[in-house]
Amino acid sequence: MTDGGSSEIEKLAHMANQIANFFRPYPEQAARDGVRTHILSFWTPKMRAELLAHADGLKLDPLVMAVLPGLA
Amino acid sequence: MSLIKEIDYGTPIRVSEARVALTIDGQAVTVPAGTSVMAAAVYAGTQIPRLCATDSLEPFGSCRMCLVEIDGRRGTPASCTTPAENGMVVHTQTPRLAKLRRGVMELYISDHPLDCLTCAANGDCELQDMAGTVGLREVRYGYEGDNHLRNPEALKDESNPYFTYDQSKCIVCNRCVRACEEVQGTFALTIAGRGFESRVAPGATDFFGSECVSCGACVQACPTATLTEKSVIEHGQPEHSVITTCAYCGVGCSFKAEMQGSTVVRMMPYKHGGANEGHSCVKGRFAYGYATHKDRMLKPMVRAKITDAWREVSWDEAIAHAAGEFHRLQAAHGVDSIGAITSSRCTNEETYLIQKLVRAGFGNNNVDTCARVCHSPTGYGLKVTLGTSAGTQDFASVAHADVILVIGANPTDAHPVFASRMKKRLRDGAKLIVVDPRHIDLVRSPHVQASYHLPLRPGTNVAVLNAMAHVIVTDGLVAEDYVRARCDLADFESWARFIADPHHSPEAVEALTGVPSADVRAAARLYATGGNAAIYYGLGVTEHSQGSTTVMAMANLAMATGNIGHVGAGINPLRGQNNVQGACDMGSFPHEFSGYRHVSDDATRETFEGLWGTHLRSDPGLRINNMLDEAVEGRFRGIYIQGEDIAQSDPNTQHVTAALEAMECVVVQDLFLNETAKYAHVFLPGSSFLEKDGTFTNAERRINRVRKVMPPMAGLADWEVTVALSNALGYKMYYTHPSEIMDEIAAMTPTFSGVSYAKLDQVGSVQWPCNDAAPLGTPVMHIDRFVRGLGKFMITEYVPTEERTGARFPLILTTGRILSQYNVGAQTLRTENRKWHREDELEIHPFDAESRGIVEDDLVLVASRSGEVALHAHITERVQPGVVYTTFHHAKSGTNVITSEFSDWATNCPEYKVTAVQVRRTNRLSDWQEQFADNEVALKRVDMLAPAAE
Repeated sequence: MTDGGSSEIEKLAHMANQIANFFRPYPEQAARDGVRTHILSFWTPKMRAELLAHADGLKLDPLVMAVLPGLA
Repeated sequence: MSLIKEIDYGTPIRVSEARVALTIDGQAVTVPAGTSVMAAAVYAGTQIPRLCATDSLEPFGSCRMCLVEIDGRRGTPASCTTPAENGMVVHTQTPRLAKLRRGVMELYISDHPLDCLTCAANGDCELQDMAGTVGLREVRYGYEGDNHLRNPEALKDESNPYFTYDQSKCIVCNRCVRACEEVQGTFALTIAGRGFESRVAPGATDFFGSECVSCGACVQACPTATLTEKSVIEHGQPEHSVITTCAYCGVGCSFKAEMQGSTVVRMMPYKHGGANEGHSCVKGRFAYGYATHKDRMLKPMVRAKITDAWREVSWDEAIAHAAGEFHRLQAAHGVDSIGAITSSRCTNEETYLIQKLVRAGFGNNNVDTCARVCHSPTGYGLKVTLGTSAGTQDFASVAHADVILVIGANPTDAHPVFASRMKKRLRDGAKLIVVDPRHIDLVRSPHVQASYHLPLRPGTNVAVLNAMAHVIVTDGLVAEDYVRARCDLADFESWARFIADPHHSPEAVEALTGVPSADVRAAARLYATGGNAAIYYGLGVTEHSQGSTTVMAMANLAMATGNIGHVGAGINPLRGQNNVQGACDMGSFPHEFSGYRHVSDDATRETFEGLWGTHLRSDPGLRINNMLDEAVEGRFRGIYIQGEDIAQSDPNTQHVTAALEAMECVVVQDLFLNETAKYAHVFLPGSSFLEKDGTFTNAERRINRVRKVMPPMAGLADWEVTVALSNALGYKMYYTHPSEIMDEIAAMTPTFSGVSYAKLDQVGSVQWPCNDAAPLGTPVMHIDRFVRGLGKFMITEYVPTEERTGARFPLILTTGRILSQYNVGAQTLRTENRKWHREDELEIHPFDAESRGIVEDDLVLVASRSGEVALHAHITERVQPGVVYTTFHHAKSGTNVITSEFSDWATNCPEYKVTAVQVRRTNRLSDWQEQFADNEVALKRVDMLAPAAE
């Protein structure tokens, strides 16, 4: 995030990366499951769609990138 | 209705399985061992005269009124200090005793004003009662000698805003002094002088200037009019009382609202209240005047634009206008373009209705609650590890704790009644560990001394807890039998390997946390080996980027040491507001129904669809922060906010207000025209806790009744307004009383299935789960097994916040609240409590102040990446170098103008506790503060020329 606030999509990317940071110490598959389940449980479909739609232009954690297909 | 008078046993009720049998005045009675003869007499149905004894205090034996004769014993022992014994034969009424008591009473009255008819305590004076009981008919000593009656005005201290101290009426029974020590634990009072000069004194100053915290325990204990509520002096004695629940913090104290008609004369803590057991704090006891403050808005109002003046309208017009706008927005911008926020200040029934309105009436799941910004990480972290989103113990459990770990909480300020219970246990020998950046009062105060204070740098909770767990694992202190029997072993082994890694050792993280490694090691060993260990925590845990991780780290620590599932142990969130627990329980979060069941759970959703008669969405809705972000982007257009003030309480104020300004229909339901209402288009007058029926659920899961003691000042209780709005939206609700809403909650929520108003009226309160398996509730959870089955250890790597200090912003700001004030100050600042807190100040360490040329009371600019505000500086070593602290009680301070938008990774709970700032001297308010002053006028105008509402 930057001074004075960020755009909504930047915030979504930041949230996703934070979630990945938490699950990173877990084994690869467990980490992916954790990130995916968390986003599916707490994000609206529109938020997930926004993240998917803008994924290429965002600095997303590899763990997030890995679970993107499961968020559709 | 009548005035409720609890039985006073004279000395504390003793609990013992052993029994003793004795005879009192020919009546056989059996009592628990340890019971005094005085209390045994009450059990036997008689009362022994007394003045210095009351059952909230240990016996003192000074007044010599409670003398008795006991067969086979010499003299006339005091019944309060004499334990009942098997075979004892006691006589409480004999000619000898009568003569002695009358003689003592005569001496008391010889130095007491005889103004009973005009005394404020007339009708409620134990001295008066005792004079009558002993048959005092004359005072032979006259009033010519030395006494305390000659110049009574000079002996009065009226400095405290809520009670007076009139020395002329003091009988030096010590009850007030002992109440301050034993009940409150503040030790503010003493007996000054000797012999005839002996008088109660709040130190060498007046009450207002003393250490007194105005809890009211001394006033409650006083048997005369020496310490008297000013409200009683003004109104006279109450004629009836109603048991209800305080609407301030999450302790949830029970009170007797003592009334004259529909006027509250005083709030008296209720002895049978499970949370408070007869104690209170300055807020609940005295600061209820906001409910009838002249600032209350009592007419519904609407306006087209926020720059327009408000126009008073009828309830029907306001409701129809709000419903029409919500319909318009959904038709134009989609079903998801509106949402609502429930309040932790409102009842369970009210929050349940709002989420029902959103899910069934709005047709989406865009409902959230203010727990989002305080304890949402508690809900997440405890659900994941233990299986349910609540604390594990009742408050009484603390009396059995041997080690108490307080982290990120300041109970003496924010949860004072529980703090008194905790301090009592500490005085009795429990050990204390405090993990807090600040030198809070618990670290060292009269008769309390923390064994270890770990003054960590803000934002390093996880690192410190991991380091403690590292010590426990590597020192071999894990409760292996417990873990093997109760927890998922695979998860435990993964966690144990993770936490044993050297990078978690206290030495490895010392530079990061600022906490000496030796202290961390010692604290960890004490926690693991000191007996029953209990964790109590607050927003210093949750309001961080790693809030949920910290909650899980605490659960790991407790499970590893076997400290969950029995009395004296546990993990206990100290909830900030009165009904945070309840608002969460009731399904206020966008992803779950009542009882913490996810909206995607088909069986649960279908059950609700069946009862509510409508299709319900299976996908989570928007959180508050998501609503605000989408509003700024133009996709979220309308919101219904009940009892919350997000424009003052939520982080990054300018982002919040920008979002509110972007919306087309903001509906605020509140007692006052609060900060959020400046951006509203519809204002619906709220009702205070005194004006409605319902329930609150406190931090120990205790469901307490809220009872209406006066009619709603604006005509409707809050739940009635929600029903009206729902009906106007086309989703019909048919409730006629909140008890019917609770019946529905019980029918739909497994953990509440045994709850009803009838049961609450019968037993007082219950702690959920309350169902067939536990019809009277569950004081301690997870006793034989965790709610989720096996306890789940989570890997809690420390991930630093991205809010970084540096050259531009070298200090860390952390925020909190103080004893006299509550949250955004809307309530407490409209009471005499404002005298204790005229403005929010910035606490700064002498080192940081000196290096900036700042002296005490300088106006300083506090600047962050989000904004700037000016506050007066208070130089103190309570904060460590590099850390500054302030409160957020005054709207004009704009404390949340400077807090950031960083938030907890799991729940988006804002990171209020870590904001990088710079501080420098200034000679003017910040631009935001100057704009605030303008908006106070521009955005709060009410058109006085409009036609009167119905």
